[in-house]
Amino acid sequence: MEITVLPAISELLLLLLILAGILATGIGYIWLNYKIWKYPFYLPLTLLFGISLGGYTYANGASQLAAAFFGTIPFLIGLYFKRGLKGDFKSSTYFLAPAVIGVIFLFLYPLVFEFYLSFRDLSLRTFSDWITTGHVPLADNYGLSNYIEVFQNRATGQSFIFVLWRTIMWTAINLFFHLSVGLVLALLLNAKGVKGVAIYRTLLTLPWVIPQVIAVLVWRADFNESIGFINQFITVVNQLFSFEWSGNVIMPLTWIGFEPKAWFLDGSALFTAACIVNIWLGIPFMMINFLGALQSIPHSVYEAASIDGATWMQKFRHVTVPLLKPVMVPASILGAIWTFNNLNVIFLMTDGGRYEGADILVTDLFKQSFTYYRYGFAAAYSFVIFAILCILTVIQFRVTRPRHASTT
Amino acid sequence: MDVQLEIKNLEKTYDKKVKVLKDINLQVDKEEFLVLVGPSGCGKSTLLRTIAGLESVTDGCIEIAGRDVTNAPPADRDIAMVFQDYALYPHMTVRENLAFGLKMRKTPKEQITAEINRAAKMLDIEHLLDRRPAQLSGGQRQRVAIGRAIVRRAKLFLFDEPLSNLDAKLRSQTRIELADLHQKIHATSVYVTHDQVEAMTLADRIVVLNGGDIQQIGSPMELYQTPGNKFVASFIGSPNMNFFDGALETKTDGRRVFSFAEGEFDFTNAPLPKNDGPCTLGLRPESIKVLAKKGREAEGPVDVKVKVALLEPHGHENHLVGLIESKQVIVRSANPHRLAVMNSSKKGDVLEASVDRSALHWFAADELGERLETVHPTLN
Repeated sequence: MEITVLPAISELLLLLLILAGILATGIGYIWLNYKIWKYPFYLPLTLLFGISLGGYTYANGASQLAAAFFGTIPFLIGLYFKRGLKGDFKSSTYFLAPAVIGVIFLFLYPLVFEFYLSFRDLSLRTFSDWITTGHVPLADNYGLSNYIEVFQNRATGQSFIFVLWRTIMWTAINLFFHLSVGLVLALLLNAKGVKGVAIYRTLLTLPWVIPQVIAVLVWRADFNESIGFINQFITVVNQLFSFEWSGNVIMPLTWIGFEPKAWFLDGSALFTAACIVNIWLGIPFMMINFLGALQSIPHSVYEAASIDGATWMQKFRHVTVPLLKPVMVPASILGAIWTFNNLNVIFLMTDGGRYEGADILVTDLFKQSFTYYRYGFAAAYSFVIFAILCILTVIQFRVTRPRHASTT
Repeated sequence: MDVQLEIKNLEKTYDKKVKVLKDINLQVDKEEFLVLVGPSGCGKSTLLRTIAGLESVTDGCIEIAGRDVTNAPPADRDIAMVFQDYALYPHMTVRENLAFGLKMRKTPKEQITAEINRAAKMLDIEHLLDRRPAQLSGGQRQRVAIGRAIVRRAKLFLFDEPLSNLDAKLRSQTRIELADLHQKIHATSVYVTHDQVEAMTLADRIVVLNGGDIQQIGSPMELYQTPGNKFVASFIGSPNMNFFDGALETKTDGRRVFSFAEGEFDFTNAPLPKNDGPCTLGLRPESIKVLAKKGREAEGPVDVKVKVALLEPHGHENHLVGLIESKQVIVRSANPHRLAVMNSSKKGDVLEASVDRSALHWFAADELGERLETVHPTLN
């Protein structure tokens, strides 16, 4: 038994050692730069170092892109020390350097590489060529065929427009229930004279605290066709409360539209189930947000409103809603982007894409790249999604930009 | 005078245990400015909030302008209230803040505009109408809050410590403005404060509350000159009244002497309680008069010798913290001759002082300390 554990730990230690080595080299390199950047010939030196580093990596079989990347990085760092660090900003920019390097390696480089890939035909067919020669063929139509294909019907029968439509529906439905139920619960928790608020608040926050994976897996068991809680509940309630009316047996839950279903095999049922799970998961965040905002409204404002003759509806409309707005608008835009991009719930509900019919853009993207290995196509696809999210983000900045209060 | 607000046998109990208001009976006449004053926790704010309808009543009844409103919601009482933290609607402009109450009551638009202009002019906030509360200073917010009451032309104005969020200078200025405003619009007002200076300067009548009980109701000067019990005597007036616990006795030679632990006063020819026995003497700081070397200020019997512990010059008057043996007393004077004596004294000096026979306050020695009636010896 203990033998299976040991190699894993040694591997982990080795990995940690390598990581520490990389980190130490990086920090050491920055430190060296900091020491020598004032000397003449510093910039040409970094250029020379970059060229040799890039040449070395290329000679050892790296792609042109990777070689160019490694070749320019030392020079960029050199430029940063020589030109970027000036006056009072010197130390602060120095402190920023690790974060900037992180962003370059973890965000900028993958982004550039992905953009490059989106014009290339990298798929299972060309994958082995890429590994052996480092060469990826340009996609058809001067490299644009990936982008064209995104908007065409696929072999699997899904079209981009339909998935986009489903994604919008997914976002709208989820957001509507997150906001409305979250608001109602927050209002109830904030109501005067409710006993045991702390207990309710804890219970209602639980969905947020449970790891999403575990929550979704439990829900999947609940939606199981034969032993799941949902189907059994519908059956039992139907049996308990069924009655005869003008010759027909009326089963109350079936009558209002709930039937035991094969939740995972019927596409729309699966989508419904996924929505229910995600709504359940997302309510606490909005509730906590709203509760915080509600509690920051001074009680005397409500008292002033009741003396002014406002009914509770008018108080809600003229006092609560306007004062919640500064929290509600950013929360709903953030919620929209998160839901739009929510991979895990649908991915887990569809058992990693095994069940069809509930895919949204990001899960479809995941499927294209890691199930069908269409890397070039997936890269183009992700840039299209990126563009859509960019538009959403611009809208967010427009809406949440603080309005200039009128001063006379 | 019409009675605008009448409170009968009002009781308020929290959680069926804590009695906050005990059998309050009160009448406020039309156009009267009534101030509720008392230490924190005395129930004055609770009383105001029950009048406003923000707190329920356990027992008793409240009538506003002859109508029983004990169980009516705040909106139906025709009242306006100014809150301690102003309670302006932060998302509305000053104009919208002023208009809100009228809008809720479905007042016609032209009338709303007219009322806002009237109130804004009265309070000198016309240039602020399009600003939001966050852009106003404390004093301006205060005025908007008052404006919100004025536009409503309510039957009763309620003020809940409206000046306590302002700094000292602004407070005294706003106090004057409030008094001025009351003279202009003659609104029937109930005003809660813990600051006895506000109470004295603003009130037509003051209600002193302690522990949920009314201690005394009266005009400011009545309360100052004839406090009904020891609590009122100690609460009204600054610096506080000096109290001497002791006993009154008639000596064999007919002299009547009040003796206390640290000394005694010979009060043979002063108005005194009829009977001998233990009682408490109250002396306002200005009733203990430091004797000057010559002139009118040197006249009077030397009743007591005060050892100087601390002198607080206020410019127009001096407060002297002194010791009669080990008992601390506060002496105040604004008389230039007496001031000269005080100013030339040093810590540890002993000054001779006389007690003003016409300003003695006598209280029973029990816990309540009710005021004792006095009789003048010459009238006997």
